[in-house]
Amino acid sequence: MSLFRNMATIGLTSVLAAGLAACGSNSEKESSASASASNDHAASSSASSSPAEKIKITMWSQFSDPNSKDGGFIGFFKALEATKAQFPNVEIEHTGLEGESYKTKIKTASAADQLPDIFFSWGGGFAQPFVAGNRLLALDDLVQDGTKDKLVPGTTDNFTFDGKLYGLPTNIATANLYVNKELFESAGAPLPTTWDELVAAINALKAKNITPIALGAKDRWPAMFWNSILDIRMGGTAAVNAALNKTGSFDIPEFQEAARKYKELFDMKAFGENPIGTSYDDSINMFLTGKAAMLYMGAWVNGQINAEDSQVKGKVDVVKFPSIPGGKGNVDEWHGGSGETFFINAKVDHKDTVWAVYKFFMETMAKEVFIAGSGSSAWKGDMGDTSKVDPLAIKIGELSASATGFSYWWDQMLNGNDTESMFTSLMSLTGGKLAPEQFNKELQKKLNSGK
Amino acid sequence: MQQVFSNKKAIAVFVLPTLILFVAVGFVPIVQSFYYSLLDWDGIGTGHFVGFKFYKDVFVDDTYGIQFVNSIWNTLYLALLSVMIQIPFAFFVALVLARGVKGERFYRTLFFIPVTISSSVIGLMFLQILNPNYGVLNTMLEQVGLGSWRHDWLVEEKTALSSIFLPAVWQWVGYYMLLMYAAIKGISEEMLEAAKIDGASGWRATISIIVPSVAPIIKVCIVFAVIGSLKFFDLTFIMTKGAPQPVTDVPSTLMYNSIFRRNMYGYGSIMAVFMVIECLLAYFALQWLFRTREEGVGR
Amino acid sequence: MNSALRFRWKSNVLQAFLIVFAIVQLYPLVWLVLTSFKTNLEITGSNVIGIPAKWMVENYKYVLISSNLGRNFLNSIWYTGITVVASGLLASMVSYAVTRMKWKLSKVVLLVIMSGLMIPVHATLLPIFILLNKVELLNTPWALIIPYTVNAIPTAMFILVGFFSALPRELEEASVVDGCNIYQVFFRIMLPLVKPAIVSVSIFTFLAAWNELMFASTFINDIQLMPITVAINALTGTYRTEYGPIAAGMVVATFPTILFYIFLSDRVQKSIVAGAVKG
Repeated sequence: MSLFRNMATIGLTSVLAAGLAACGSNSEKESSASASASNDHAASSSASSSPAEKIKITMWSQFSDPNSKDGGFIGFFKALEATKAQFPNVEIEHTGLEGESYKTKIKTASAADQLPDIFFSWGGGFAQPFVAGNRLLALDDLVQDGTKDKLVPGTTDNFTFDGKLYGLPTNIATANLYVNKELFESAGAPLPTTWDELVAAINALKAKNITPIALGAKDRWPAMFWNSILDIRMGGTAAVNAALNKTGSFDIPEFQEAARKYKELFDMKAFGENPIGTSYDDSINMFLTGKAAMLYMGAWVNGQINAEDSQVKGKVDVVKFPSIPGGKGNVDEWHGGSGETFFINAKVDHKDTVWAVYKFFMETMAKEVFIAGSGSSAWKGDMGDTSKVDPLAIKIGELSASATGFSYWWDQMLNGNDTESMFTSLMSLTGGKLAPEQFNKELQKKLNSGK
Repeated sequence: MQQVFSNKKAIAVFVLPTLILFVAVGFVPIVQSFYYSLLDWDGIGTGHFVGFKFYKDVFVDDTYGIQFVNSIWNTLYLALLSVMIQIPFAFFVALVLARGVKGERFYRTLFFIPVTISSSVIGLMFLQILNPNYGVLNTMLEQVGLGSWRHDWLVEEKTALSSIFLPAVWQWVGYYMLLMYAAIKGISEEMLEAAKIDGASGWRATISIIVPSVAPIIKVCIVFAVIGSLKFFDLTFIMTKGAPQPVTDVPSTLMYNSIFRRNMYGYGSIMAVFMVIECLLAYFALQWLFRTREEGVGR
Repeated sequence: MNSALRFRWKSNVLQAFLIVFAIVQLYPLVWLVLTSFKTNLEITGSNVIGIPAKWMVENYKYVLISSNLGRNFLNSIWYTGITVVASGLLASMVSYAVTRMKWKLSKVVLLVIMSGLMIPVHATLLPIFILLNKVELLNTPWALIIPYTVNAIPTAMFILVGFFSALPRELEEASVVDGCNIYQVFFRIMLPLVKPAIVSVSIFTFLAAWNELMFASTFINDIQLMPITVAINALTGTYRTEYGPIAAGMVVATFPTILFYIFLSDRVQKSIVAGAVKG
């Protein structure tokens, strides 16, 4: 009996404690807690009898930590605050969840047709199922109000399906070649502009026992970046994009050569001894502690490179990825683009209000993320005070101003299934189990099978 | 006597609430999974019925290169490790503790700590230990002059599987130990006294009295170990984040991959259905194996 | 003389073994605590094993003050507490009915509930979501308490069935002869006898519910209702993970489970030793 008394005591105390805590917080939360997921969105929902009709908009995203130092997160939360201030009669209820959990949540909610009013998403293949399931609001008519002209051309490609537009862009992400100038100097190597200079630099760095390039192949996508940029240099962004949306092919001589160069890099240990056992975090750490001389990564690392505790602060520069002689691409073609967006639920009420809030938010976020140093804005116009923007971000902006083509991350351009197939083949190639010639053939076959 | 124990109303009170709740929330999803396994569905929009078409693909054709069958062998290997190594070891420790040693309470608490730590932590920790560049294991080998024994533990084929299972076996030892410890403690003092009087002592007492008395619990542990191995997910997922390579795949991660990454909900449901059936078969097999022993103990 | 020496040797070896095993088991906790005081750079490569160069108490501040952790912590206690009590009670009742009471469908019911052990939990996510949505319990505490309880029952039942079947029938028969009805037999006699089992079951249930992440992330939208697992996971960014604060959060999250375990198992030990188990 005493056992039950104990259990009961614990149970009761907890219930009481939580109850008291709950009573202490705003009672508005209680009414939202008893409502079902989101179907009463935007209708005048609040239990309070306020005179002005407050419209509630539910928003989900992967921005889970308001205190994160990640530039994208900083930009998001600043934009959210600004939007809330701009629209006082709108209540924006935001739920942020970590990446993997977030993907699970929206997919589950979508299956049950319980998506919120606005939700973060990636474009391209990731978004396809949502489009096919008719979950999203088409924006074509809405953007005619002048919004369309504000956008940098080409930044809506990944959010357009069957000629219909479903999302606005925020930032243009680019993969950039970061170089540690100090390490290059100590190895006596010039910063590379061509493939041969790159190989020479790698050998010079190896001679000094410096890991030439930091790579976290364990997480798969960092390796994918390298494969992609080599393809872009050899075949050009147009050919890569064609292969990705299945109007072209992977099995062309240019990509075969790219695959051979990819293998060459691993064979010469350009990525150190154990790239496959090295995670993304490990690789960033290597670069930030000056153990590796190069890093090919997205602009989100700018903040970490120039952070207070970084050992490479001020020592890092950005260069365009080297050209490859004989390749059809050129140095002004970039791996990157605009691939992150927010979608609007097709069933949303108060369309006009939601649209006004949405477009303001997207434009503000583009600006704030840029100021936080994590990517150029996809919206034209005045960026305000840019004096405090990270010098790396500014340099990247300058370098990419003359861009002639973009090709975005493959694991978002392709749909879920194709992405996994791509990764499997890529890791086989990386691990030496697949010959370069076989890689592109296999890729082409797998991605075009069935349908 | 009979009447007390066959009181229908009492039985209903004891059983119905649980049964209803369970059927609604626990059993129906299984049935639904079976239904989903017959669909071609991305889990986001609406799907259409294809019958058993994908079943053949999962087990035979494997057009997506998922290698589901291979992953099943991996879990069988883990099940074997658990039963042959983990459980006898846990029993030994439980026995030592239950019979009374200095610091019994202290050790008992300590040994259980890995179980209380969530898999994410243990996964992260072992990732650090087994890290090829700076991990504790490789560093220590280097320092004692066994540098040639360094490996990329989680990547190389020969070592990858065992490297994933090591933290699993280690995390759960405390769990089984606790169960068996509780069982051994529950054996009444009188029985042990009686055995001593009869002349049995030390290890003979162990074998003739303790083992049969806790046989039901050992059986429970074995069933858990086997089914847990077949369903193994957490640590594999965290340590390989969906596997850089098939050698460390297990059915659970492949199912998760199919449903949440490949957006092939129907396909993944086939794997789920398979796992349920597999566990059921294992359960029956184990029940049958232990059937005779239990009857022998009979009171 | 000889046998006495041998005995002491054996007990010393035993002690040594226990100590080694204890160190092995304790290492993760030590690692976790040290990690919670380190910087990201140290954790991901520069200083993995050793003592932190600087004790980053800021990590704890980050976790306790700037996030909503206090509220999430209470939520976890509340959800887990109810789950433990409810599943323990329900499971012991069914276990007793299946093992000791006589009725035709007992084996069938056992099988049905045992099947709950077999299903991979990720496959149940969507079906349960749809169900909770239909009964409008999504984004409420019940969205978690009900699935957690149901998930805990098969394991609990399986253990309890094992313990119940190991008990001698004489006690029950004796008490019936004394005039007890079935409820009295169960609550007054049998339940106390399986206390060690109930303690073990409670601990396992507690752990599973406390550490659960996937259901919590998917069924709850309201930040005020989220349990601690979601809060700590939120510190994991896509490209930048705050490992120090995460470790700090895990330290905060892990200690209740250890305390809970110590608290419960101690009490049970005392009552057993006090002679609660009657011959």
